[in-house]
Amino acid sequence: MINGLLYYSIIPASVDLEKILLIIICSFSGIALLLFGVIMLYRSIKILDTKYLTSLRESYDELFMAVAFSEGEELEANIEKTKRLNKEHLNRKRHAEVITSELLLLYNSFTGESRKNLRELYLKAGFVEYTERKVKSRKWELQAQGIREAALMRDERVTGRLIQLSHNKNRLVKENAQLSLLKIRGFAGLDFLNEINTPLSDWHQINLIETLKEHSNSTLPDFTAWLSSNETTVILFAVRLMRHFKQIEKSEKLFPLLEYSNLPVKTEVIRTLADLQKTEVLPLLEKRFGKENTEIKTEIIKAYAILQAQNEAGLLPKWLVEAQEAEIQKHCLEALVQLDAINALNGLDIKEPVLKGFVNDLIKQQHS
Amino acid sequence: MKDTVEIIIWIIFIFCVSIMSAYLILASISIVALKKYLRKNSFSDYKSVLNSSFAPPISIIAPAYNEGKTIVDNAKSLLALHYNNFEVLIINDGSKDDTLQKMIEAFDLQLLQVPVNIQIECKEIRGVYKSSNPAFKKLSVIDKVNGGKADALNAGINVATAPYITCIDVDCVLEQDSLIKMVKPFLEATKKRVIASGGVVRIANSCIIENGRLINVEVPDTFIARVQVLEYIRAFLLGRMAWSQMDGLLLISGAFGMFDKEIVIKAGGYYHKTVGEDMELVVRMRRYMHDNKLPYTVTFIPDPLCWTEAPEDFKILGRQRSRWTRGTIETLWLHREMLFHPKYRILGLLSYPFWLVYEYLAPIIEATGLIFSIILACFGLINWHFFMLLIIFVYTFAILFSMLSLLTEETTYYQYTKRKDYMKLVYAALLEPIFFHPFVVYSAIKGNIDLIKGKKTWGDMTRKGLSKQ
Repeated sequence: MINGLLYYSIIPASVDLEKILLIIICSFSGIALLLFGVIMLYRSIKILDTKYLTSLRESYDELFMAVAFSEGEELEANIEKTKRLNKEHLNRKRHAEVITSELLLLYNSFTGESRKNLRELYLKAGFVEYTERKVKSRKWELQAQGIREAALMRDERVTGRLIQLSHNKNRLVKENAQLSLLKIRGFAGLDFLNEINTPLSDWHQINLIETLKEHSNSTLPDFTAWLSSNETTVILFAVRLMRHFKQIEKSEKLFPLLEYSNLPVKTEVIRTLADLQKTEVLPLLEKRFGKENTEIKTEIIKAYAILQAQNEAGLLPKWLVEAQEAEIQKHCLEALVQLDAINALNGLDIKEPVLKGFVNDLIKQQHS
Repeated sequence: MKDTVEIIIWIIFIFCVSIMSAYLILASISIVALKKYLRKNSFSDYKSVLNSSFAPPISIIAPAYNEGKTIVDNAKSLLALHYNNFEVLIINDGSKDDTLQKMIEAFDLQLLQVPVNIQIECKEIRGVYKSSNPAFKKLSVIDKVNGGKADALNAGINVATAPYITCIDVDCVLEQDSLIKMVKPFLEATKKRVIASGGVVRIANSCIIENGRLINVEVPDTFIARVQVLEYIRAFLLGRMAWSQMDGLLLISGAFGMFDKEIVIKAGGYYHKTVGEDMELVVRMRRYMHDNKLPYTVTFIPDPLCWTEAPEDFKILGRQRSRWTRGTIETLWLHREMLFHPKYRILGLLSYPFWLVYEYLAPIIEATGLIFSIILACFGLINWHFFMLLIIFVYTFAILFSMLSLLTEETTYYQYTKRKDYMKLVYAALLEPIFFHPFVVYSAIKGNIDLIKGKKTWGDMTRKGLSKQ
């Protein structure tokens, strides 16, 4: 047996590889054991922590309910009691998080006097200061959390700060500030769009629109003002706002955007014009059809099905026969069905067998 | 002779140390990325997007072959997902059993003559079925001539109407909010186009599943499935998360992935001639974007979104691992131009070499090392003391890495809440290197041999089924 074949000639004799390996093995075993211990400890702490926080939540819950359903002196006494308790807990991060989230949850699920009482509690028992401390924090996650809380409680005192933060470098802080502005100020909060210099993601746009839904009864601003923005996503967002909030006045301002180079904007414009029942756009759509790609053509056909008068096929049979793509054919047929104008296909010379079969089926269904 | 022996031993030793280092580096990147993801994600408001009319349409494509026993439950489970705007396309890939008949009966399906836009090559589509019952209006069943999983997925892509497609294994159990979580990166992107998004796949064996919904997470009863729990946690949480962070992800699991349909079609859809069609598609889509100089990214969602049944006996497990190896080799060979090509940046310079050396070659080198040690032992040339130290060195690393993955799981998703379950996983981690890993190495070698023999089939993947467990 050649003892130490593995290392004698390559590793200098002064290096004891066996010893090094032994040290590494001991380290690996030690670390593995340590990790096992950490998991067990973490698990135990977590269980104890959850137990404590649940009991804390329950005790606060009782107090919050008492506040929600009390009035006059009793209300003041309950608020005072919460304030005293808060001195102990609001300085401890985990406790403060649990208590505040519980209050916000209750506030959101109540209406009327109870909601008012909880808001009063929020303002008087130290919660508002806690939220504002977070909004002013340097840590983005605390800032974003504070912003959300302020918005939920409609805390107008932080509006100025929110306007600043709505252009923050951190995406999450910025987006949360923008959402909060809309929550607190409604459509007036959309002012941040005037100075925007970064794209609005689709995800954020949907969130903004959903937030604005809460203010559906307010007077709508003129969304077309943002159609000339330098930021394409702001234009897209403005078109979506017009569509969602049915802003028919001035919707002819959308017509020039049919020639816009950005595909999502163009698609959204066609959808919006159709949703807003803007029949005046039909000749324009017919004119543009031949110049567009399949995606836009599909949108035009869908819009056509909404805007064209019932029983009138318009250019659909022509587009159907001339179409090369099955996608266009399918949408033309669906549009004809929607318009109850399948009869327009009688006598058309359709060569493609599947399409011919489908058309015949549709005509038969129509006659039966 | 002595020099040659020594060189071989050193190659194996250096490989061993380098693979350990690589895994530790990836794990470190993953842990940082995971923490970042969880912190950022705590501000995500899924509810408002979930109900919005602006949520983009999604087509779920699920190929089915001889799934008659479970297909109705599986389809119902997919139809019950929480999302505003989606369609479910079940592709009956020429099943020999009653898969189609079961669906026709259960969902009142009627054959429609619909023009299908064939944008990617696939076997003949015999018909598209839709339900006459409005409750199942989201469901379409595509009946086609058998052509394999890739072909069935291509047929689904041709019929899909949404811009985003989710390709899944029909027997997987998806979390109710999985679609909204998967589509989020596509909607959040403003600078780069997201072309694909992968989700974490978890093991559902022994979990409690009712009506296609995961009710309770349990550790599997069998050792084989239990070890696979560890494997999947390591691979997804400590591996793919890191690759995603470095934008070098080459594989999105075929069990659950979401894609930008336009790019899938432009890249040519799934490739029929490989058993690793999931990896091959991602690599080809990425190549397409690189070749056309289009800014893009591939994302990965670490949340547990998809639960699948793992093989519980060595025979089926062996077939699965052999297929994975063949799929890897085929994909790497098809895209060999990428290796060290600077045009493909991290893909060519890091991801591809990593897959080649640490995923494909690792079992071969490991087996070579073992055979070599046996030969040395036969000739009495082995230093047994040192040899045992090396074995213990590798074993302790395996344990360390499994413990790290368990800690990561514990501090992030905490799926296994019972102490008893956690201890079962610890025992599995202790036994895995001795009783499970050698079989995985053997299967990978067998995969190589099967490929040389020209084997192109998937092999039967008998499953027990997850419902009513």
